[in-house]
Amino acid sequence: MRAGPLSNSKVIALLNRSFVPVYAVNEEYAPKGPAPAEEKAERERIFKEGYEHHWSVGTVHVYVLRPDGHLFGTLHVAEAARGENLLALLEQAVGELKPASGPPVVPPAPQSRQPACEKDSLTLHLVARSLDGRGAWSDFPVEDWIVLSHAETQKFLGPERFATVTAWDIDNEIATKLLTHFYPATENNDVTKNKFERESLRATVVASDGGVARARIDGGLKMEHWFYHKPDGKFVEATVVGFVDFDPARKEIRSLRLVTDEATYGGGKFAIGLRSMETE
Amino acid sequence: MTRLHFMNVGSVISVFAAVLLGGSVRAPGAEKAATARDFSWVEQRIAELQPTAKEKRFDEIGWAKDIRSAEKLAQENNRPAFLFTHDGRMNIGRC
Repeated sequence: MRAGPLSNSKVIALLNRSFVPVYAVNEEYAPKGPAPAEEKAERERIFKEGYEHHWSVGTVHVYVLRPDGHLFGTLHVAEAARGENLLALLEQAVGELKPASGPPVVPPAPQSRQPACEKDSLTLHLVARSLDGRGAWSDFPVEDWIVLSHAETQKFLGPERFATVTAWDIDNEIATKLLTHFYPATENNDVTKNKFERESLRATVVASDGGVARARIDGGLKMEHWFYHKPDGKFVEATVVGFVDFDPARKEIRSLRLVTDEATYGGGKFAIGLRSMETE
Repeated sequence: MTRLHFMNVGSVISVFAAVLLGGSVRAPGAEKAATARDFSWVEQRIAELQPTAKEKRFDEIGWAKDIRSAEKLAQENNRPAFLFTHDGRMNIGRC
């Protein structure tokens, strides 16, 4: 949907002009999910109303609600993503309901946002991009936000003292926390299912200037990562290179950059770019 | 200036570091390719990988924060609400 109708200029304009758009993540609305009980109840009410109408209802689905909250129409995602079906439903709603039109009720804003975190933690933004367009999920790059706590940044900078050519293996727990996100767009995004055959990140101080040291990072991984949620024998294999700038005296990371040099998954090529962000 | 200093010294030292750390001997071509992966290459590579505006058109839509907020705004503004329910995290593409 995101790469299809939700990137279509007509759909975007119509949603902004005449609708109040919202998306709901099913995992958050699951019984143990973090959505408030009232939110979960409201989603269930909408589903129930759809069943009462004998309309198509599902968890990966489009629902159009009248201004009073009652259902106007529904569309299965497979239908909504195909051709002009979604546009037709939206235009039908506008034609029948004659809503007030104008600028978006909610100003558009980036939906991938830096998570709130402790001031002394390190926030990292990762992008995974297909390099050869292979695979059904390669329409656009995908992202992750990873937060290293202060304690984890201390573990990252392992040695007590640093000098040029000081080298160290980055703590395995921290390397795993970073490298487990080194996979392309897949339906399975449960990183607890990933299994490493090998992983390494080794840092070597290559420069020091003005109280800031720079270490080059070299490493790699071979990680089993299922495309769907069941074993399929697919592996990520990648070499990794990067740099960390840090204050050796205070053991504080100033910036971290990691990229894959060569990365493959299931016969396709992809790339990862990870960088630290300024704390907001 | 600091960055240039890092880059120049870093690339020289990294070669010595590789030798001191017992790095394997590479063919001349491979050595050239490896040393080319310097700080500016990493920076440029990360920049190239970032999503483009065309790939983030989804962000051009004014999304409400949750279902009840959307319904409240829909009623106040006499508009229908559009609800898409889905698995995973569409906002970051991991879905």
